[in-house]
Amino acid sequence: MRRCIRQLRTALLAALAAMFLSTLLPAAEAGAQARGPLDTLEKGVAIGTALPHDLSVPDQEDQVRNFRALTRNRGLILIFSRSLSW
Amino acid sequence: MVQAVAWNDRIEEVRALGYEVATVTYDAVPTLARFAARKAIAFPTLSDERSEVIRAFGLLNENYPSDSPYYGVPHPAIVVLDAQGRVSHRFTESGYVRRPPVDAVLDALRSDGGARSETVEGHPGGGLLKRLRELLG
Repeated sequence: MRRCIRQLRTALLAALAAMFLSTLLPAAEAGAQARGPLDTLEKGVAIGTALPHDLSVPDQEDQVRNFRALTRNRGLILIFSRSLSW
Repeated sequence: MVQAVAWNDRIEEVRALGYEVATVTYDAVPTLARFAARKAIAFPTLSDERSEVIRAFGLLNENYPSDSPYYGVPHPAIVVLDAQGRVSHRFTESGYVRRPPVDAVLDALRSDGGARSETVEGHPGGGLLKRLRELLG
């Protein structure tokens, strides 16, 4: 009986340890995604940063809209580029 | 310029994924209006003449002196914001020779949606928990 309880306790501890380690893995992967072959610049806002500017600047029709007006249900893809006239 | 046209060609696909596209350049509004009309651009092209947005995102290219006509341009980058305005993805290049292809960005956005549900269903602790339940019988 005691042996059975000991085995059960060992299995329970192993399961808890595995669950704890598994919570650490996604965080480590997220950190690794911040830099990669498609993210080579050592400057700029980091992943997870809150909106640093509300984007209230005019567009090609001279209309000023902010992030709320520009975004769709999943978000906004901002392309920073040199110039559209070059 | 080529990059903006490439995104414009895929705009319906991007919107079907739930995203909008906008460019940020230091161009004046008339410059953007001419470009958008000539290329039939369907998304907003934002005029950041004072480079305020570029600076706020930490992307000002400081290789040009303040008296250069190029002063105020950003480093090339694609920053994806989620619907709450939080930075969810970055795609950057240290030079303008190579740009992240549209496909690479869209693939990352698509696969992230899948990865979230996979993580929940395929939780690494799941197998052990199942075994423990079996043991406890």
